Amino acid sequence: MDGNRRFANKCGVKKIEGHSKGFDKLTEVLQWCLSLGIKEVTVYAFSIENFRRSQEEVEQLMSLAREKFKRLLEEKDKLNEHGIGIRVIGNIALLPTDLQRLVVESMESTKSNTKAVLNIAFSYTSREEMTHAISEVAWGVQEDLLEIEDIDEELIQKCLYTRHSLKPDLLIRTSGEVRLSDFLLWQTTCCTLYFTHVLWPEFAIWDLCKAILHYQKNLPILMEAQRNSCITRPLPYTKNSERIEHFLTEMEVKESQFRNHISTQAT
Amino acid sequence: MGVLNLLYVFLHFIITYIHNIHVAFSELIDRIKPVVKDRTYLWPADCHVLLSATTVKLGANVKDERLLLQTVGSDLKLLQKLPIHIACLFTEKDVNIDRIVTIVEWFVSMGVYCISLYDHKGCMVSYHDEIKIKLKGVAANFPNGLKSKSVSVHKGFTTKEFFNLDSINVFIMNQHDGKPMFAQVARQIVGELNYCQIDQGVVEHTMNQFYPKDPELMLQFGSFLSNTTLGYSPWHLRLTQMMRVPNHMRIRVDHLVSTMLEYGSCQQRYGK
Repeated sequence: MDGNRRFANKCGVKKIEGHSKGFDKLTEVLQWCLSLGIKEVTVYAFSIENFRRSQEEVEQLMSLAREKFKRLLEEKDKLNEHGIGIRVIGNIALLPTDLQRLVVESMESTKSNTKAVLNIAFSYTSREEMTHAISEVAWGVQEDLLEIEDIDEELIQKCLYTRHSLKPDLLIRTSGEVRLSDFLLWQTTCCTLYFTHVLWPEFAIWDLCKAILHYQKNLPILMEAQRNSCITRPLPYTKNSERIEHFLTEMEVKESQFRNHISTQAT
Repeated sequence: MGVLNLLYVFLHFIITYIHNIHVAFSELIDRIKPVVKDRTYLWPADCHVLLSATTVKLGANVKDERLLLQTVGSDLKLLQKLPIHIACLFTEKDVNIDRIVTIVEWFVSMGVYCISLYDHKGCMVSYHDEIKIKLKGVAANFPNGLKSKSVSVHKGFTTKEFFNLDSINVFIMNQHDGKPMFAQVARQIVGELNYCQIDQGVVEHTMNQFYPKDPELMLQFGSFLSNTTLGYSPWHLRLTQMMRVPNHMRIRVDHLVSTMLEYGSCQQRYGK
């Protein structure tokens, strides 16, 4: 969702106005995705690197986030009716405490919805996510839930913030930049990347259709490439699988304790 | 309902047909005229001059290309930023080693001394010795400035002992250098440290023991319609610009120069 500030410059309005238009565009795009039957959408809302922006802009973005999450909580009945689940991925411990509480509440209130999922990457960078996965695994080894030889790429994948999500099929980056900027680096290794020059607040349904067309044309070649890849899957050992399953369950317990702690903190 | 179905099939056919024609037409255009990306309005004036100077006439022989690149190379160094490390992603079914060695030669003439050659099938690794021999053969013909640099060809990531900053380094990578290598680094970190001590700095420090570092530019060769990373080490692709270039058999010097100029005009804000 790149290009809000450039859009604001183009229209001669304040940057926060650009971000607000960006949010309106997001709700519109999500409607289109829902109509098209797309089951899961992940959006990059705020990067840990964005904390380096001016204090004023960060404050404004946090206020915007508070306002939108509050609105989301007000609409939770509608979300539950449509079966839409909200997940926030990222290091939420870096956010202000009241925002943390709002985030956790939104996730908990839509937890059981699986018809369509929206992942909001807030206070997220892919490298931080991969580091977090390593520290989770290290915790597992320390608590004697895992052995070091259990650590492989599949286990790391199961410790990422996006472990409950499907693999992304298409990544769209707007505003003409042709890099990933620390977004879903691990998850997009065999995904179609579509870069477009359109600024995010100006993203139209035709741009979405073009992206999907690119994805459809790319898919057969991509599938063939995956079939020809040189990595062979190792055979699963039952003994390890049990241990790993137990570790993953304990990790989920730790996560829900952390969330409970956030939501029960005094104001 | 039958009529609607028929209409849908018909429309789908027409759209796919038009799209196929469009793709074939763009490939044809690529062959006939130099590839000028549509962000040229951002380039400074001297870049346009440089691009016209490098438009190679069809049928130019190899010697001309090399001479051209040597003159262009020094100009490119003055103009815009050049990537330190370029990752080449080959998506074609068959790779021609002579052609790849030529492309590496072009990069070296332009001033890029660290190049990774990656393909997801792992064929490149089997050609490691052949590439080494051919590259050393080609290096004998380098001009005086470059002749003093030694050429090393490495398999996968290497540590400092085997890496020389002053030489020309070519890395041959496959999927085992991607996620499996990260898992290996994870095992090393977990074995050494307490989980409270693990933060991004520690992981970065450990990853930085290995060369090559993050590529600034990734060039995807071949006719995939969209960019894909196909399993290249995810940790290193954080800020990598990803650009597509034609098939490695058809790519010309001016394609490469315009891609480098395009790279030079990209603005990195690093989150700010």
